Amino acid sequence: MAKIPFALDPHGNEIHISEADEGKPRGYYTCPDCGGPLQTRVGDTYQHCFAHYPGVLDERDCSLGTPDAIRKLTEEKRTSDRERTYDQHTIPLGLRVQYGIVQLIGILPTLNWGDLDQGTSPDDILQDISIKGTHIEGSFQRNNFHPNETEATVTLEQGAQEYSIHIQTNGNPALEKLAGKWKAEGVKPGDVFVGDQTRAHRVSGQVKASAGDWVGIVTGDDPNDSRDEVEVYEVGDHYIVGFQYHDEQDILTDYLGEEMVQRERFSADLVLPPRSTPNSEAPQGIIAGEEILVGITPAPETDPEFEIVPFPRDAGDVDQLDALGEGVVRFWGQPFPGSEALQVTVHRPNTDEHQLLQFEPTETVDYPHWESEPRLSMTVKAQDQTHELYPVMGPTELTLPQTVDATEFVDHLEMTSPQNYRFDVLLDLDTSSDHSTVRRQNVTLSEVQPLIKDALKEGAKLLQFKLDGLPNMTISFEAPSPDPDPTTTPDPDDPEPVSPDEKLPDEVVKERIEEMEPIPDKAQWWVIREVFNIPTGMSHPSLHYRAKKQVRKVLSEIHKDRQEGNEA
Amino acid sequence: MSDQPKPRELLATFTGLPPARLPERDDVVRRALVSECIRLGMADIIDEDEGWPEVHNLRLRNWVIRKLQTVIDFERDADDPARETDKDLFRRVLTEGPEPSLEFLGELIELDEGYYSPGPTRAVMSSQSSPVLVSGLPTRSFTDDFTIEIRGTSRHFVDTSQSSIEAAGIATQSIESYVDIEDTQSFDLDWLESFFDGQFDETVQPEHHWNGFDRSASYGLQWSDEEQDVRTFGMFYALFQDFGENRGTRYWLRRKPVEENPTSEFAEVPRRMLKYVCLILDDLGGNTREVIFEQTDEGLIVKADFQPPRPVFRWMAASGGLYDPVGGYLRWILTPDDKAATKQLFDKLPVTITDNT
Repeated sequence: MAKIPFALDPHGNEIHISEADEGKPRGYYTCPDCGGPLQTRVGDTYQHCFAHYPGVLDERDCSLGTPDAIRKLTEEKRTSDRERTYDQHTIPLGLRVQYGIVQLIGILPTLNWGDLDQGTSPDDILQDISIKGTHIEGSFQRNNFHPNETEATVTLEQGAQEYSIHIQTNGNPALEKLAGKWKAEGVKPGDVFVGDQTRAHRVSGQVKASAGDWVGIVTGDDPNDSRDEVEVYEVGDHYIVGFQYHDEQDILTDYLGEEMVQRERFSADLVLPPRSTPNSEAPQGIIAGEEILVGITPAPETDPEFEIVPFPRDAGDVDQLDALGEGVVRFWGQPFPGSEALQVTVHRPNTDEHQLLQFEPTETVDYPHWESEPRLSMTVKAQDQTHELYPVMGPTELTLPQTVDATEFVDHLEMTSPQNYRFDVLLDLDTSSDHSTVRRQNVTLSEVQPLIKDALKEGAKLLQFKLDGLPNMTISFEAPSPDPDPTTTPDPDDPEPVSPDEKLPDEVVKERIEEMEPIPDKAQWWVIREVFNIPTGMSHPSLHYRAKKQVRKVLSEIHKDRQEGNEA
Repeated sequence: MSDQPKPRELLATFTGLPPARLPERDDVVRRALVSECIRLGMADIIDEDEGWPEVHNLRLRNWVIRKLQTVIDFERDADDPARETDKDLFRRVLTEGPEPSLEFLGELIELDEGYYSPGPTRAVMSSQSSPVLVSGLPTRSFTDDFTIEIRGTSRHFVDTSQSSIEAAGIATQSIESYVDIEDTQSFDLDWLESFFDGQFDETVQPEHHWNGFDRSASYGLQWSDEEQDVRTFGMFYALFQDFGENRGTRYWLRRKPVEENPTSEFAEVPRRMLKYVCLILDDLGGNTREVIFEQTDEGLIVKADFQPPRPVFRWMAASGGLYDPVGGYLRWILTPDDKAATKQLFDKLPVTITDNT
């Protein structure tokens, strides 16, 4: 009896024996070759498999009747969708999403080093390539087919019914697999793309996604899907419903139906190299000798073996990864040889589940440099001059005349920052009121601009932008200096003001403090009483905090002067 | 077949740093690994973006979880009540919870609708030779030019002078500027009065359901039904907690002169200013809180019998202080290099500093 590893369900989906429901009635599972009913054989003592019911093969021919045929089937399953598509000269379609815009790409194979005679330069060979195509955007470089590239991509126009690329190779035998006409069907409702926003591929048949994959479903009409997790993009005349897939959501089944979704699939994630995108089938740049490490998580409650299959299939041997237990993560890795591009698929044997991994040799991996970072800045225009403030590098302060036009100032106030960047704003109003400071917290520039305008009209003398964790940006507004009146000169014999409501000149405060013995350490209440001649027992609720600040400031100056005097 | 990598080995590979410059404790290593992975994910996702880079946290989360899900358990400790959070490790490292997060450190900027941007690169001059590196960029962006050490979520330059950092085009800033208290000499009565004037709101009417602030205690603030006026020079101050319906808790500071039939004034206390106000009222009311410095085998211990305000937490996070509350005290383990800077910061608060080192 041949042990068949998978069967077809009534929807035509391939069901691996590990996912089979043994309670299904006879006829639910059928043979992928002859269509005859299959029984599920599961138990503790023998290998789980599907098998023809006894006597069925007496009545019909089936190519899966022998172990050799099964082995052949297993081998066929090692060939990934991508490779089958290439074999049919069909262009695999992919897309990437950036800033809400979908870019459609076509993917073609590249030259293999193995196709070249020893000593032959790929650059010479590639001179024989010429390309024509329909509905293609941008130019197509011969170098795209260099064997150090894992794939050649081309941007496609959106909305076309069909794409075609004709590659002429001047009869060069090394380019044989590329030569000829390549085609792809245009994007149509019902198509599904799975992967990552940087690269998702069109898949066929039952959709298998892992938690964290990005999925895009093409619809003919605007789905008006307002779910938080869903973004709707336009592509040609169609729409794409895009979302990050996870096991507990229903978006995929809502659009495709339960039978078209296989919820639980293994995931193969690139742990190393460090900067590689973990779940993208797009090529990853890697330096010679750098470690590749892939973590493979089986679907829940399954414990399959896995295989690392060379791509293309005939490029080398298969690496086997043993079963380790239900749900136990397994790892595959090796140092990157460095001389040639590397393509493998992580494959669950006897299924169509493949995860393509592509690595392209590079001499350096560039990490972003701090000097390339965008810089937070504030642009201020006033009185026909433009000023820039930079909280990180400076300058952070600016002084403008108080006569600045409030409307012009606010209308031209700009911030280079992320959208909706929030900060605190402090405005110091030039009034005699106790409550001369206005603060607004966690605001955007556009939210606070009306307040700034009003404050400037009121005669604000200070505008401060307090950015979280960064130096403040401060704009001071100076009142014009009054013209000195030559007719009045201060009389040194005039009595000094004693009202605590008024601010004494600094020199008077200093004089009074210096009369104290010993000089006080702090601006304590008794010091303020002495300086302002406040009788004991009398409270002065109107005593402004500025007076206390003044005493503290003067005290600090006195201490500093004395300290410097001592050191001298 | 390869073996499962150990988180510390993986951290060394991710950062390009030798093990000697990585943390030892397993939980700290896990946080450091997730932090670095978030920086790497940001760099990968925004690589070719135009304009000001922004990444949605769901996309970043998928990147990080797919990168590390085979190596660490993100749900571990998620239900640990001692950690005061039910969030997974990604959330805790990104933005939430009492432990240091990248957003709190300023390495990421949180924007509206779940988006994040990398924070600008700068060095916080905590000491002459080991300033804190604050940046949204991966560690490998710096390892060709500087010696870097990982201390949990935060990173430090090692044996690097301010002049060499500035010569390389990296801005430097003071601790005070980094923790957003550059304008404040000390948090005292003067500050309270100035603060009140700035926040004064003449439209506020007291409501009967407000609770009065009683005192600070080790892990929180105590409130009571009774008003607790603190008398200062000519003024009474009292703080109230207002559990309004359909909105978050608000806090109000009342000021009234010491005189017959006084008129009360009110000012709203934003949540981030609350702890300053409480510590000042504690101090004025004779309940001055204490911070203790001790040297033990674990390192320099800083203990506080109160919840310090945000700048202290931020500084502790940036310095790599291990948050390790025990026995009624909030407690951090610091490297001795950071003692002076830490004391300088506590000096600004109206608290008693006891140095038992």
